[in-house]
Amino acid sequence: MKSWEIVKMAWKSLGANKLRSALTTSGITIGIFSIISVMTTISALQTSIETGLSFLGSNTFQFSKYPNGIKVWGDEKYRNRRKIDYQTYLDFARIMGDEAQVICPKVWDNSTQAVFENRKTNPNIELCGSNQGFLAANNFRIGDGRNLSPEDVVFSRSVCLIGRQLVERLFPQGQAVGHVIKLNAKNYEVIGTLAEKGSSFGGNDDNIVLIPITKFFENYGSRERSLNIAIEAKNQFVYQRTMGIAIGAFRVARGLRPEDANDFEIYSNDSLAGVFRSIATTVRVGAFVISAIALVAAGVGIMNIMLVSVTERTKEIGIRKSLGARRRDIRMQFLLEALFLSLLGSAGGIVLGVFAGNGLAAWLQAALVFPWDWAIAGVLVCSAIGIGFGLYPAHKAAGLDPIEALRYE
Amino acid sequence: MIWFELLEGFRIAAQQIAANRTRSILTTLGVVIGIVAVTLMGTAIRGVDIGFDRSMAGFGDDVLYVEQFPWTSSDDFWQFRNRPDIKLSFVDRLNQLIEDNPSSSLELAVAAPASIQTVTYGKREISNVYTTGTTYQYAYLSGTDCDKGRFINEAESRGGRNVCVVGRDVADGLFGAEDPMDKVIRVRDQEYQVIGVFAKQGSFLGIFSWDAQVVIPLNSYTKYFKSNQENASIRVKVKDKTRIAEAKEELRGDFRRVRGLLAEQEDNFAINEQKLLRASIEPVKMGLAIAGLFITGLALFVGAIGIMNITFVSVKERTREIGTRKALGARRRTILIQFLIEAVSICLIGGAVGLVLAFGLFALVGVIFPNFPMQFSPILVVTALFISVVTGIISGFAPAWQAARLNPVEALRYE
Repeated sequence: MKSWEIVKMAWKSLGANKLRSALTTSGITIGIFSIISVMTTISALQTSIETGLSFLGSNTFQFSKYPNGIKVWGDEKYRNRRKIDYQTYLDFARIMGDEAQVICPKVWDNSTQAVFENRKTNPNIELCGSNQGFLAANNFRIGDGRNLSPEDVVFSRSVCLIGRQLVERLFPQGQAVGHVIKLNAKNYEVIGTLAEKGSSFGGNDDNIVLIPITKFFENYGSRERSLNIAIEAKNQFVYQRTMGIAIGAFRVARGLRPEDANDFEIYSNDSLAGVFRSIATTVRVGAFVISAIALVAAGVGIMNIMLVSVTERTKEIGIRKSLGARRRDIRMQFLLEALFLSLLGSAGGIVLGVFAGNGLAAWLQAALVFPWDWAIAGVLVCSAIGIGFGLYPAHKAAGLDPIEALRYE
Repeated sequence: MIWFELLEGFRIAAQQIAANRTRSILTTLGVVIGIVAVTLMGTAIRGVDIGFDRSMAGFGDDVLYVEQFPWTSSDDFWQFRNRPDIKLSFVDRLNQLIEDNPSSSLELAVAAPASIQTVTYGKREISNVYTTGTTYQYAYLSGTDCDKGRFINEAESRGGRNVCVVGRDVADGLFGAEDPMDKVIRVRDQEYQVIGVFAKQGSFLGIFSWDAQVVIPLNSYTKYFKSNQENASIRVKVKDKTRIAEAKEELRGDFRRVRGLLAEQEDNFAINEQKLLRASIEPVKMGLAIAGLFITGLALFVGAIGIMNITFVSVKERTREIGTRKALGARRRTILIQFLIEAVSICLIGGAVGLVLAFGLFALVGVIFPNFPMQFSPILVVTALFISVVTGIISGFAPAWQAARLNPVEALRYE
């Protein structure tokens, strides 16, 4: 018998019992729906969290005294390191020459207050002293006005760029550029505003003020202040090379001997996102197992219905066998039936799941995604379930004795 | 008559289930999977709830906190920052007011200013220790069970002696295997003798641990750590925790009197309670619980579809039997009940087996991961069985209805 014939036959027998097939299929649909919607939601959330985490620009890495820019309390190893001072940065920049696209020193003070006329902010502004490379290295864009210029840094001019939140707070009418604001009792002219970035982990990126690093030291002192230095490679192909050169150059600038270990931390978006990704993977595996339970229940349903189907069609099987159908043909016919049931179900489940998952993600204001990998995994799992749970009934059908089967009432 | 029908229904159901053994087992298996999933999720959710409650217990559910800042909103710093200090001397006035009012719903006010300090013992050092100065009365309103030693007594409290009670983690961190009792530790730059170690209390959502705290007498605290006055906090115990809203209102009135606020002036202090924190976490918890139950509920739903499917098959197979019964005088109701009972029995058996399995898994998880928060409860058993019955009725209804509506003549003729 031609195999095409078997496929057609399996398909037809599904159509004969529409209600039964529909119910069996809907079990699989629900199982796949459960997996896909959960995975879509997690992917969407993960994408938005990772976007939030990537506070450095692309192809950028950073040197700092403390890991991840967060102080670890009571950890002598980090605390007793030498700070990274401005002179080290200057030496480093000189050694690097034009090896990197951008070298951006940063020094932070996160308890700054801004005042304009009679309006003042909470004293929790992140004040950053940096240079013209800050925007590129930290993924910011200009909203209005201009960026810092190299001259602003060299001549330590009293100018600043302010984040979205400050604009709203201090300049409700809009126009901020050109006004003079006070930051911790020092005057600065607003030369530009930063485009909105949204809040992310580890701080609100719109509650920020950028001033020339030289002015920062002049006004607020340089004692006990350790710099972070962000370096942007020219492109992603030389990223690793640039990082290697930068580490060497920074060791020289720090005056480390060859046998000394690095006394600074190196991190990039990847190293940050990696921490989060490992958590997300655990959550995914857990969610997959839980949502796959429904699929197992659906598989049991398929097996049950296939067994019924074998019993009901015992006579038909007997006739086919006595007309020369081989065991293999019968087995194939019932396996295909089970497979069709589960594939039909999975198609429905994927469509429903993507809609539901993305709906939820949209409601949570996360990016929309189509989880190709999970959709494919869903189809594969479903086929496996169809075949796995269809195997026993098919085997039972194939093993029927034609004489007994023909006599069956 | 209805009893007879029910009895008859059960008898036929038992026969049918026994007659089609494989089919019944598989159908039941679908339900079992669903019930196990839902029940385990239920235990996990309850476990999380209990773990959360336990971590909240450190705040006390019958304690109000009078402070400058509200716990939840930090939106407008300036509005709160410029409020006058909460002075420790207010405590005595407050207690006086509480005493003077015989029908007061408040019991006792205790000062508990706190700050973050570094604690050292020999070469070991722990920073970020929540250091509270308070009186012996603190024991009335907060858990002060000690693993070793005791809490500050009245004499030490009044005299402001340099003694301290340390949290479990502080004791472990500073002393390791050594016995912490009577050792002298340094809190910032002052020496304190350890007179007790608190029993382990756990942490609040991993953000704040009650085990990383040090409690010293108030008089000693004000002597050495006075610069942290603005963090002063007055804790007030409520007599009846079911009437906490009333108590809060009374405390507000009392404190306004203490502060000497005029009728038209706004409150310049905040009254905090643990409910505020709870409320801010509640939506997240609810969301997780709903998502978890929904996903596992889907498995149960699939099991229900399986029952419906098999009952349809069963109705079809037994069309002639139904025809015969109807011809012999069985009413629609009888047939309906018969098939419903079949579906419900399968679900009940599935529910029972599922519960046993779930309990086994629960015990297993408890053995393998002792820290995993789970809680099995009788309510869960009742709920699970109830869900099984409802599942059976819902999934069995459509096929049973179809069977009940069969025309006896058509049914008898069916091949």
